[in-house]
Amino acid sequence: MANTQEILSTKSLTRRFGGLTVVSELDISIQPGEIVGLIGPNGAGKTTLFNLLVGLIKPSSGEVYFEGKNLRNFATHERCKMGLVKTFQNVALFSDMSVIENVLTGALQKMPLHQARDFAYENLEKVGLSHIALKNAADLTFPEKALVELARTLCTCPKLILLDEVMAALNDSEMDHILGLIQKLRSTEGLTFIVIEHHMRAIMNLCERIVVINFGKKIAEGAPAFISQHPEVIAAYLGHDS
Amino acid sequence: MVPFFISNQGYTIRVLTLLFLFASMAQSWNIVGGLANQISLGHAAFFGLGAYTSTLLLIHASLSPWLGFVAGMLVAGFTGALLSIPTMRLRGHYFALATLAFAEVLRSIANTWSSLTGGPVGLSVPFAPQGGLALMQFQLGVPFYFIMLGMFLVCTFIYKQISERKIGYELRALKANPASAQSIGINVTKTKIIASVISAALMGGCGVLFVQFNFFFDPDSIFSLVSISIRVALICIIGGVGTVWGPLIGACFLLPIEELFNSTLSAKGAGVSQLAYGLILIAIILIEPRGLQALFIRLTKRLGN
Repeated sequence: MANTQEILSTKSLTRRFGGLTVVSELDISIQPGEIVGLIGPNGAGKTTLFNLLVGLIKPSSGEVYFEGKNLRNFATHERCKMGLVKTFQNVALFSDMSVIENVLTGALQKMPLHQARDFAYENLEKVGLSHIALKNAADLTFPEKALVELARTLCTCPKLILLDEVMAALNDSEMDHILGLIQKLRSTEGLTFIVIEHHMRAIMNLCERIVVINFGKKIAEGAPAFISQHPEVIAAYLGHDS
Repeated sequence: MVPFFISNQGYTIRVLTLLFLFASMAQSWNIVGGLANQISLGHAAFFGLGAYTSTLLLIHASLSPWLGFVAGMLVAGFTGALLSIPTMRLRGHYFALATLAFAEVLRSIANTWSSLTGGPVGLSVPFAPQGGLALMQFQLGVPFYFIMLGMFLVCTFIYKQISERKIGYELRALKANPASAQSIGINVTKTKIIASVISAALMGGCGVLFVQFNFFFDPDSIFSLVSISIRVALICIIGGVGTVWGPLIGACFLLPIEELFNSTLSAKGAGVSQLAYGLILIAIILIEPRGLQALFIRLTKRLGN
């Protein structure tokens, strides 16, 4: 079933919490180098899907494949070593560490400490924050935290990054900075992204393909222009009466 | 070098020896309590296992306590690994309760299994007047002062090495956010087991040194919840959890005031010394929850301005 061309795919992925099916029979397929948007109303199952993909939650049934390999028996940290990483919705920095310590912790599974520090500076430079390397992580603004988390993720040498609402609460110029950064990382490092985002301008500009889920089911998939006109998507966001 | 400059040697050296012993125990507790934020209330388990291992080997196999020291560390470390498998998913109070229960179970077993442990009567280290260095028995208190000081330096060195290396970063990461630590590739299970093993083994080593120093122990004193498990955690918490010097500061503060209160207030009425002791602890937690180390830093900053 798993196509070796795909970097990531799911087959009938399902997760139930008690009687509630949060992710239901979901099939998605991501090609290397794509930037795919994942949208849907609140509670649609987007973050649960991310957690299933990285293995923080186990599926009730169904499979996840990464580069053709079934991930069923791989723990979260092993998936990270393969190159599959996610960021967290509310930004999960290690609050009692400095920025540089946070970032280098991401590199420690790949290299010794002194190299990790240099690599961390390199990645902080990429997101434009090497000037705050010695600040305490707890003292940063939200946009800075989001970028530091991205730099830490880059330190794990990822192939596919799952971004969970990194652009929430950003102003327009901060958002443009992140959008440019994601595109640049895709073209210079060949990274693939799946992006959860509520901000429509961001998602329309950034992604070449958008997957829409509601009540854990895929209701539409396609190019941004197609999705924005799709009747079911409009109904899901605005309600059926409109 | 302190012992050579004090006049009333016997008593003061004994207090200082115990002070370094408890600082060592608090430092080994600090590895899981401070770096991984797993508040264990059962470290007496490892302390007691170390003590029983070396003493039983000495009695039955005439094994030198120095080798018993190694054996005690191995037994305690192995038990630390076994205990950390079921308890590692527990956080906060639940972890504390599980570890507390484990030490209490060992205390019951040691009390009941008389054929091996001597039961409630306890065990004595066979006295060998000519034993000397080979049997870790000394006429004077001074050698043990230096042994405990050495143990404290070893524990502190290990703590510092751990905190500055890869595993230290991993422990701090999983303390701050386990899910995020896993998703950047940290093997949380392995990291926690390694930390528990090191912490338990050092605690076991402390147990061996204690019985050689004290010559006698019984299940209720060696596996004691209040005078070992909680006291060790308190020393570290009062001094400063997760700091290199917290355990020493805590031991230098708590043990002398315990001694002082016991000698001055015990006569005033039952429980007065414990009451005063408890009030001081409450005051410190209220004034500076991060411990005395943080309080000193705050005060020196204020004086500097």
